[in-house]
Amino acid sequence: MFGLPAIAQDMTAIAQGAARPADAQRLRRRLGVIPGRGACAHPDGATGLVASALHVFARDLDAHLAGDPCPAAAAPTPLPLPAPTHHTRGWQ
Amino acid sequence: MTPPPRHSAAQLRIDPIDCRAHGLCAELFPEVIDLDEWGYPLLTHPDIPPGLLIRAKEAATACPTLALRLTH
Repeated sequence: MFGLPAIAQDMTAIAQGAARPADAQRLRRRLGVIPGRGACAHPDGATGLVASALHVFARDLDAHLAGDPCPAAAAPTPLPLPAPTHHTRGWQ
Repeated sequence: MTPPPRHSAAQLRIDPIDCRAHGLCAELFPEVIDLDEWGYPLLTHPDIPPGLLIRAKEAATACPTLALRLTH
């Protein structure tokens, strides 16, 4: 569980307008090495979703990489994640 | 009709559940195994030519979690 958290962080930074073109290049590189290597197909699905988002929202991506954050990035998440418990700590 | 040639090359496979990113395989067999930025192996050429079979076996045997396997 290293690749998906890294990709989630990349996407967060992009949405906040904190990422730069070099970060997007690293993200694309990361998206290329993860599919097919997980224990199940979850990483394949997650990386496919992100790759699709970068493609479909290419114009928004350019704006974010220029420092313009997503207006929704500062809003609270609609589905907040539960706090880690002793069951989940270590693999999250 | 002639049947297609049998594909008999040995192949290295990585069990993603067993692999714990020790990285020994890439150290022992860099011709075929690279590591990603998190230390997990990337097989650059899963098909092992006969000349490299012994090296592949050594790498598979050395894997601490037996996640690297050689199949024929």
